[in-house]
Amino acid sequence: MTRHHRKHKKRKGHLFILFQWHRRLGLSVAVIVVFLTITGLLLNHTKNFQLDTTFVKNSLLYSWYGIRLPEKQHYFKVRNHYISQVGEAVFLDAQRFPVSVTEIKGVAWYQDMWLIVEKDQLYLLDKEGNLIEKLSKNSGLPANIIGITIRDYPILVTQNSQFISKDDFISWERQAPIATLSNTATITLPTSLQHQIRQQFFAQELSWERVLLDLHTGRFWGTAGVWIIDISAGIFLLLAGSGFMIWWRKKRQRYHGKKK
Amino acid sequence: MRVVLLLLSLLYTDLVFSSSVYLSNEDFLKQTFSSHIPKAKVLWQTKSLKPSIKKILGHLYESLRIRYWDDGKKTAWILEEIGKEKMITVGIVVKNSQIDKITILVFRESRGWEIRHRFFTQQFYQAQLQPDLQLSKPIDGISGATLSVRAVTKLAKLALFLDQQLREHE
Repeated sequence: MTRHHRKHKKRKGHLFILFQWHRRLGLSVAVIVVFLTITGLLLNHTKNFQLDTTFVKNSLLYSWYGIRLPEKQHYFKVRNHYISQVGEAVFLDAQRFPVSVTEIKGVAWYQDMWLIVEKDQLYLLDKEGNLIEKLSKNSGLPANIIGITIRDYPILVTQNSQFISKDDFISWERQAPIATLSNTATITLPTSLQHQIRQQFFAQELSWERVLLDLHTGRFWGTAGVWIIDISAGIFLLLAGSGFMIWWRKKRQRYHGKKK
Repeated sequence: MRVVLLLLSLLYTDLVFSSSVYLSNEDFLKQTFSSHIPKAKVLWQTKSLKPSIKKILGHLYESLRIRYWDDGKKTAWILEEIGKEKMITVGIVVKNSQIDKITILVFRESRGWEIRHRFFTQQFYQAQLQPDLQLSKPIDGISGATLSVRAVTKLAKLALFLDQQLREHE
């Protein structure tokens, strides 16, 4: 065996090892390549698939993300309807009202309107849940309200006084205390309603685009996921390098073979 | 040192001007109607008004009924619109179907508070609403306050439109 033959055989051996490793590495990340391709394609067309405007409804995913209902929750029952405050959101049964509150002090039903009162605000909503008007101190509303009640007309109860409006909420007159606030018993929501409110609350919290992005970057699985994607990215680079080397060596072999 | 002082003063300016009440509703009404403030009235955002309101604002007004004050000569409106993220409360006086005065009452954004100055608000003086729901006068913008300028311009158009509706129903 000539020196040239020995050198050629050694090169062939190197090429075989390189090919073996290229194959092993390729196989080890094949699933990740498929996964990243699919998520990448979907992310490239989020608008077409409406992934940015479609929201997750699966409660398991919310638990995974650690998204929970706020602790601040108050419930009121008026005319067989439940009015719930969950964080800053307000619900009539399972329907979300278009208002944001700090702390509801009372709820009443008057002339086909829902009246929701806070310390310094009064919201008037129609029976469909549309905001009729938001009243505040600037609209002549008394301050430090602790509750609302109806005695022919709506009466706002403050720490020291009571105020009545007889002109469709335009103005409020102080009056001698005639109304007492009904005791607010602790209300428990029916389980089905709790579930519906939970779904409504989360209805626009987490989009599928966000989930896909987190899957694509590995953040969905926390730090470990990011490391897996990083290592895979490193392997992709190695594969590109080893692939190029294999192609180059084979090309050289063919060139030398032809020369002989 | 001067640079640090300048940066600190800018930061302070920012803090001061975020969510500022320049004038209370009551003071705006007192300035408009002197001592005798007429009783507030309400105009409902009815089905027939909704398309035009949507054309003016790009969306419906946030509440179904809108409060106004009318002494027979002029009407005063306290309207709200989002600048970039937060509501800007604006007091608008309409006289003879023209803007008589615009005052920024509450500004809650961190940028664009320059719209409260007279050099901006006086541009609206005597502006009328054209049939295509545009103002009869061009309004110059303020760099860095584009969205606030846009919000106030929309509210000026809305006040003129609502005033027009009152006159038509008289």
